[in-house]
Amino acid sequence: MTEVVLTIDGLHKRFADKAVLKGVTASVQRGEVIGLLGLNGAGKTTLLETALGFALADAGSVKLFGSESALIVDEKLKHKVGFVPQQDELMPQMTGKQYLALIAEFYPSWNQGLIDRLAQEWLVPLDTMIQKLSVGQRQKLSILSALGHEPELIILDEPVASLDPMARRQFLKEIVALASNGDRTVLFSTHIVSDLERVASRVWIMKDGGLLVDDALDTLKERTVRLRLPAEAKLPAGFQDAGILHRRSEHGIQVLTLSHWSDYHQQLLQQAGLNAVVEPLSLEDIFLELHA
Amino acid sequence: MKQVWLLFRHYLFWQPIMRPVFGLGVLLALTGVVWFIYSGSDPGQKLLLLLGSVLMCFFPVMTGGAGFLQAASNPRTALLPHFRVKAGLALLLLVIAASGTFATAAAFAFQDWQWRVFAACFVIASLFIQTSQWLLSRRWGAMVFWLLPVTFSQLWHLPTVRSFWQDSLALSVACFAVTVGWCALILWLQRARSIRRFTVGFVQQGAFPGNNEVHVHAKVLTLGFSGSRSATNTMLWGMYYNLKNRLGLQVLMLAIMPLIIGVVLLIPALIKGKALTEIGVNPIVLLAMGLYGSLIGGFISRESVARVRFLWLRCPGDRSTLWQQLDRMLRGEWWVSVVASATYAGVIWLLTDMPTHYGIWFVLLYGSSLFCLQYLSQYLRVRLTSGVFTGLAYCSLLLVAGALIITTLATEALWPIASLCAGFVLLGGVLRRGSQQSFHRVDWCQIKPMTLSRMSALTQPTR
Repeated sequence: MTEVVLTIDGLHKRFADKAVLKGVTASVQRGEVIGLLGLNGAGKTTLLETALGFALADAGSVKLFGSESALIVDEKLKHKVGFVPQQDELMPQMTGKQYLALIAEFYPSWNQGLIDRLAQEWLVPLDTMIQKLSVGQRQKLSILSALGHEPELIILDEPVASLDPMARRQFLKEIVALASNGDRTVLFSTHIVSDLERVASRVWIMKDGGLLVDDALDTLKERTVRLRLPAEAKLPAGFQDAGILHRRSEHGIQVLTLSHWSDYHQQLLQQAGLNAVVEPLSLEDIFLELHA
Repeated sequence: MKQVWLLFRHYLFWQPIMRPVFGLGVLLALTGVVWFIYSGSDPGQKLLLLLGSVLMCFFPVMTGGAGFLQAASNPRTALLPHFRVKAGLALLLLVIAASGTFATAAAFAFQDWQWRVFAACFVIASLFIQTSQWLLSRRWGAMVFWLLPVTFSQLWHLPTVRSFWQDSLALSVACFAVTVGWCALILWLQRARSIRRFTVGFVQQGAFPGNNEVHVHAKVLTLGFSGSRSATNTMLWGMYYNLKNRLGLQVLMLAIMPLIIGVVLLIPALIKGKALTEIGVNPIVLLAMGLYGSLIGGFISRESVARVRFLWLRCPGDRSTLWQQLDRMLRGEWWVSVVASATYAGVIWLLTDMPTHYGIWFVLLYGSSLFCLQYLSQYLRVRLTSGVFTGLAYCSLLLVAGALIITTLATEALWPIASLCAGFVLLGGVLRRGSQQSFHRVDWCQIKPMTLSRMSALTQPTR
């Protein structure tokens, strides 16, 4: 049976008068690579940081490897987690090398070989003072500091936002390599949907403090389609469960976006003799349709 | 002109707290004026007028320069045509308005000294604004806020300045010359240097003297840490943590002002073999300057409680354990500070004819105020109180402390200073307890070290 590494149950979180998380429920299994999408202010960072115990939930619970995350005490359990915050948390007056040496002090199982290799591949100038590094270089250093102890669960909050295309590709390659043996779990938030499509096995889409989508990427893409029908065509009975997200008219053609498309609906269209065009959607299109 | 007016208003109400404070000031000043109209001249009326004008002018004068820097370093506004000229003009208008308002109120209250008061107010306001707008974005810039009042207090002892003070015309001319000269120098220096990205706040990353120590010890650091405890404290402190470093910081905190003043004002006299007291240096002023160090101790504590965020996923234990680690570090800091303050008092005692008991009281006051300020800033931080409110709390405490110290010096009675020390310890104890309780629910989604936001802004400077 697959081990559940993170369980989020009915998580609520408010900042002053604003409810940021409204009853989020989800779980993460070992070996998954989960991409978290959402508009700015949707609650992605709050979800990730509350899940890691940086803040206490107003209601609900989060369990990391079976332990209440807000109360995690065990050093071994903490060392199973690697976290890259949205805003890097480096020490500006140190060089990259000094900072990594500092972080390594906290972890008995620090893999310096891995860090040296990645720093070389990602072109991180470790001998330069951190305050003189560019935002992208700081981000790379922040990622290195989260990978050195080879954590079982890696949580990254918009890790590639400031990286150049080559660094992004290298980073994604590394994520795939980490997850390929099925032992590591990755949960990352991003706005770059193409990256997510490249590596994620599952997608979470947040909207208004809730988890709107929690699906395997392939399933989501199979189920969400755009349907083009003649303007006068009527949908056959049985289409109610197809999950019509939007319906609009374009150049005399009906355009529908469906969130629960299946072969059954295809058969219904054929039986009704409707000349319909079914278009698969990219993840970016799906995201936009869900937020339209 | 509309843009200049908008910028003027921006400086005037740069922080949310400034609007109600300004309103309160206007209310008090108006009450003083109405009182005067109906009842004639009265000490209470003068006090209200003065207090009102201080409230109206204090924050704009203190923060106007920073507001200018922030506006001028914003990429969007920086590209507007003639923006810096207009922003500078608005700042100049603020100087004139603030100094004019306060000087009018002061001249009204001290009718024999009108010219002198006006000239002094103008030069002080100009120096504060002009200096801060240039220096606040630079390393060591925050020191100006320490240096100016101390320099003024020391200048007062110089016979030449005293003679100027007696002659209104000479004083006015001198003040005018100082202001124009200083402004011209700042403008000339600014011409050569572009403004770096500047974010809200008075003190830039690295502005405190001790931060430089890290550069010195960079070589040591590459050799590795002596253990996870050292690494933990380095994380909490924000710089490499060893006894030598901490002592260096403490000595700098205590003695940096006298050192600078010594270089500028006193060394020529000392070379001639005069004692400090002979050339107008009051040991009590030197001790008072040392008390600034406890403010920095409070700042370190405020930042440290946010830096615990860095340890949450790295150190074993729950929030109680992390609190203990933080508290242990602060206790260590406190002891080092007390030892440093005793050394500092000893040095002053050796160099001047200061009575011994002043040194003892200084150490007690320094230790108790540091204890209180450490936990005050920590308590306010974990309670998510804004920096402005924290500043106001500091100011209130300092006002009370200042009043009691002055009472002690004036009356030669020791009970005010003894009660102040006891009050600091008691308040510190209560705040420590409160911090400990609040720490269990601290929200590191909202409390993040100040340096993070600064650094993200500074890494892409508008050069």
